[in-house]
Amino acid sequence: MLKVTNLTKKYKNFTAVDNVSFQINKGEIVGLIGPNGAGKSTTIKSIVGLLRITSGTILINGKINDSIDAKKDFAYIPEFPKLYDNLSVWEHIEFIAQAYKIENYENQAIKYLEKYDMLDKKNKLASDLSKGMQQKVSIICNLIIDPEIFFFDEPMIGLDPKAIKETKNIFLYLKNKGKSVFISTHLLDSIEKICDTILIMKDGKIITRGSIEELKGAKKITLEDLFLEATE
Amino acid sequence: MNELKILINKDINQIKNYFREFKENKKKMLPILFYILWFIFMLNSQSETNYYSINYFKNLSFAILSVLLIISITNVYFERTSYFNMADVNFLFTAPISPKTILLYSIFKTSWKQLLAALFMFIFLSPSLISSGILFPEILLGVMGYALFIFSLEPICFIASKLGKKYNLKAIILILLLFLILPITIPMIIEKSIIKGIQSDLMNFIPLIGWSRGIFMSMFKISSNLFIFIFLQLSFILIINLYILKTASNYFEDMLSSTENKSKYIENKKRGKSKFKLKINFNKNKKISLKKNYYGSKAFHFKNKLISYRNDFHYLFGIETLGFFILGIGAIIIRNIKFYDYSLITFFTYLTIIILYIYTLFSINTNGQEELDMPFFYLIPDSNIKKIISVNQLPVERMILNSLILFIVPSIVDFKNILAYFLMFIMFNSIYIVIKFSNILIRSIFRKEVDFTLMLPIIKIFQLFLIAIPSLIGVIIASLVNNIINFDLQIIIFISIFLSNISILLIQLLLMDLIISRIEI
Repeated sequence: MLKVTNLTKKYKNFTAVDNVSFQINKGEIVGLIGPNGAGKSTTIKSIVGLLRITSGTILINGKINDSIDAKKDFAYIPEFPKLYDNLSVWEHIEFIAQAYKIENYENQAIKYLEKYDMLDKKNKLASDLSKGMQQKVSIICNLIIDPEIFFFDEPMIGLDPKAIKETKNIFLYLKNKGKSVFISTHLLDSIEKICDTILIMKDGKIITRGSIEELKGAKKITLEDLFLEATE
Repeated sequence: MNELKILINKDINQIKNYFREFKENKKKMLPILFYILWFIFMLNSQSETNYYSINYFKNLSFAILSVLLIISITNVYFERTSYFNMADVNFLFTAPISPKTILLYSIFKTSWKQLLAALFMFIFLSPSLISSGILFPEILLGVMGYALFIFSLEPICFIASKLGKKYNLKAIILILLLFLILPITIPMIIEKSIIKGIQSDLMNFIPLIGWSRGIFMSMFKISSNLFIFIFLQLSFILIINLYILKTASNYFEDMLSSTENKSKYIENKKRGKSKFKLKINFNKNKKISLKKNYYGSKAFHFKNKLISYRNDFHYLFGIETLGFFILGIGAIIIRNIKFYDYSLITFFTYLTIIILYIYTLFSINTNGQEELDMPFFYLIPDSNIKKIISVNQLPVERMILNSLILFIVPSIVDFKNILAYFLMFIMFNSIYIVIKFSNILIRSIFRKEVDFTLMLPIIKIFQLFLIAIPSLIGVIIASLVNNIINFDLQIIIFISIFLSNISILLIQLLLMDLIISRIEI
């Protein structure tokens, strides 16, 4: 589904991502965790083609990540989603449906709007929405694309508890549908129970990887303890 | 659906919603109405009997094109040249739409926005143009000159911004200055005069500004060079756009930080927080040690000192001080070469008025006002008046030093008027303090504005009243006093303005205390 090989991203003399390789399989949820400045956002932005990679290869469903064909196969929900101020919630959905050539999306969109308590706001302009609501709209827009793989950059920030629970359910729902989900976050408890694989990143490198059970081994510790043990 | 059609649909929806919003929120109409009324007023104020010389239009077109060029280069320097907004980054950059289509559509859209503004300018100028004997079809030539300039400028800035990410940005800016700004000086050097240089036909051969000016001026007299200028401009646009198309597949990263910067800048502007400050960071990594005895409201003064220390030579003086020194010396030098005929004291009075006018226009977004958005401003246990004074203490101290440097040289050279210079210094600072405090007062009154940029002209008119009224009262008192005691009128005016400013300051402080205690953030 996603194959990242020897990904390196340099900014002049600074190496933000250093020779990172990993793979995500169909129906797998992978969590990328790490302290601030570890290179999580740079990794995710490089994968979705917003940043030029210095070296390495990124393949999405066997296609080069920044090709138009590959873009049809993934959705990206950024850390601080910005919407078009003068478009309503529904117009955002319509626009995305047109851009991704999706037909008969209306019922699905209404279902997602209901899940996120946004149905009554579907005709509201983005400029009238709170940051949390904008985050919900961004998630909904990407859900209706229904691609093979989803990239979430810090998805829980700004969401209310109900929306966090709903987003976690969405992750599992996507997994059950055979979709892959890649989540970059530093809110460890938000992904502990849903991720199949965890990648721990520090100073641009993936320092630990495996399922939570594998990483914990025989130790009776939380993901937080595990994370602190690996990064300190 | 066709990719281009998707993008056009999105923008049509946005425009429709923009106007639909007026129906739901009538208050948003207020600034628009103001602009319409202002536009009609300005249009009517241009009597058809007004006649403007060709040189007037030569200067005007040169000034407009130069300002546009300088603004664009400044945007490249501050890395906020972008055709996109953050929503485009989130939705378009990752969508399966060709990056070339996105870019070309965005360049076209940005240029047309500018062009629309230009059309307003031409409608606005049309009575003067018509009264100067220009016919409507000829006005279209002027529009074309401007349009071609815009269509060249936008792609240049995009390329400069893109190259600036790869190579040294300062070197790119230098190249832009060398090729686009420096040649402007050639006709000035040949004509041995700035004004004659601007008005010279030689100026029309300078790339971009000149070619566009050449087309623009053909409104008055179609020269044989017109087709050369059009050919040069069109070829330039073609070449530069072909280059963009060739390299367009890989621009997302280059546009990412510029778009973020531009979005922040626009956001700040809307909230009235954008500020122009040349940050040099002289002491960026230096450990700054200041005495720690700044308690309560004085903490603001301490914080301002720290920031000032970091960005300037010293917390009391910096680049601005140097500017005032050069201004003072420069004024005397050009006086000595008989560049103007006024007396030195009159010249410095004008200079003072211009500086204060500039401060009034541009100071709404300077430091200090932003404190009102910080919760700790309200939480620090001290009186509001003390806090406001402390917030403004350092800028006032710096201005006292700056103005001292400005006035000290003429007071020595023109010693017989030393009293007048001293009073001018006092008056200058008293008005500056009124400006500073009126900024905070205005911020407190207009703090709920959704779009500060849109409201700015109304706010500025309000502020000008705030500043001008005490000075006006001062002048009236001065003329009355002058009838009673026969003393130097200029000196009486300076004293009266100073005294009336002091009284308005006290009123401002009391008002601010009242308003601030009711602010909800």
